[in-house]
Amino acid sequence: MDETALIASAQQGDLDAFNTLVLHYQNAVFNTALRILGDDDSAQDAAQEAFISAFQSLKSFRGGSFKAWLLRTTTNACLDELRRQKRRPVVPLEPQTDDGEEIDSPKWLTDPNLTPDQQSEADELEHAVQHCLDSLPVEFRAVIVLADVQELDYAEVARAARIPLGTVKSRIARARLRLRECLRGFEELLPSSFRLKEEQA
Amino acid sequence: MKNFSDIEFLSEYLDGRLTANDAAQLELRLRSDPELESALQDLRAARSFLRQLPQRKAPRNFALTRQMVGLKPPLPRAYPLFKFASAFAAALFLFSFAVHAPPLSAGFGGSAAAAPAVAMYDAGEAPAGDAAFSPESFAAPLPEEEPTAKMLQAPTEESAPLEADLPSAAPFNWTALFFIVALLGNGALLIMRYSASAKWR
Repeated sequence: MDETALIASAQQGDLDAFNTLVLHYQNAVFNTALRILGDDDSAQDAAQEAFISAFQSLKSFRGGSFKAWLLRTTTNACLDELRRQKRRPVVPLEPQTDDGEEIDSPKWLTDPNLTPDQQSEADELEHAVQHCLDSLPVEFRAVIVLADVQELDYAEVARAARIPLGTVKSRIARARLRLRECLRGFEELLPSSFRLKEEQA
Repeated sequence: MKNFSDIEFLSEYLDGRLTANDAAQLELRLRSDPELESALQDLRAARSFLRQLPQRKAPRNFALTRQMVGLKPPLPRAYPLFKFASAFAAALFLFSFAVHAPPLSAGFGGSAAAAPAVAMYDAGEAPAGDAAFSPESFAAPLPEEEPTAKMLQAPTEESAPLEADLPSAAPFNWTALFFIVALLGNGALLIMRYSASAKWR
């Protein structure tokens, strides 16, 4: 995929070229929205809004990391969605079985490579981490999702979040600290394989 | 608990953002300060939890449609010309119709009959109150019946000179021509729009 050529075509109004970029980045955009908003339906809405907004403002893209630029649009769409939810709070509808029972982990979310036990552990970890992410102030949440979930570097996070580099460093550190404190409360619930799991530096 | 500048420093160290010199100094401190080492492990664990979050596959395709971004199908180059010509013909038709149309009063033959009626109302000779609207009054012959019947008869000698003063019928009906051109022009515009959107489907 020649990203530069596709962006140039899309800037001329070529929707097919832009849709090629959409297909390439839609997982990253959706996951960013999902981690910031913590809700699947809202994340889908925000992701769609982000792509529409990105196409309409594509002429303002002046080069650099397209992913960071796109995730900035995504972050803005998420903030808009959170503002909208604050104005009109809604109760999210969980997916249900034919009998009307809620499905905790819809089939399309499951990883076919995991055993049921591993899947259960992964779900528990995910719920705990998402809960702790949701407890962070939104400006911290957006920065930590960009840095640690999407693994953007500090400069890209600064561009995406439109904040100075120094603020990025401080927000990442604070968010990690708060997350760790929050996750301590879940340590008993977490599967043993996830307790104080450390990365090889 | 370490002070926040230490935490920020550790977070940057974790992301490989420190210079070699700063990193070496921090590693020296880490060896001699278990509290600092513990804080580093906490930050590392938090980052690890976030990085272990599963990357979800986008549950649907976010590719944009032309309707979503408000794109309109490209119209033929002749479209603006047809649009202008149709509007111009419509304006000419209205102007021509207004100039050549016979006066409304003459068209209904009302001037002669209406004048006495207006004069009667002016002079206070309107039909008296309830009697004018009694059921009997509908059955009774209208007082103006005679003059009306006269008007419907063939032109009298008195009216003949008036008709002679009217201009003779135009040899070519421009009003009709403008009407037809405006109608055809609008039809062509519709076809152009339809075929342009049909190409996009």
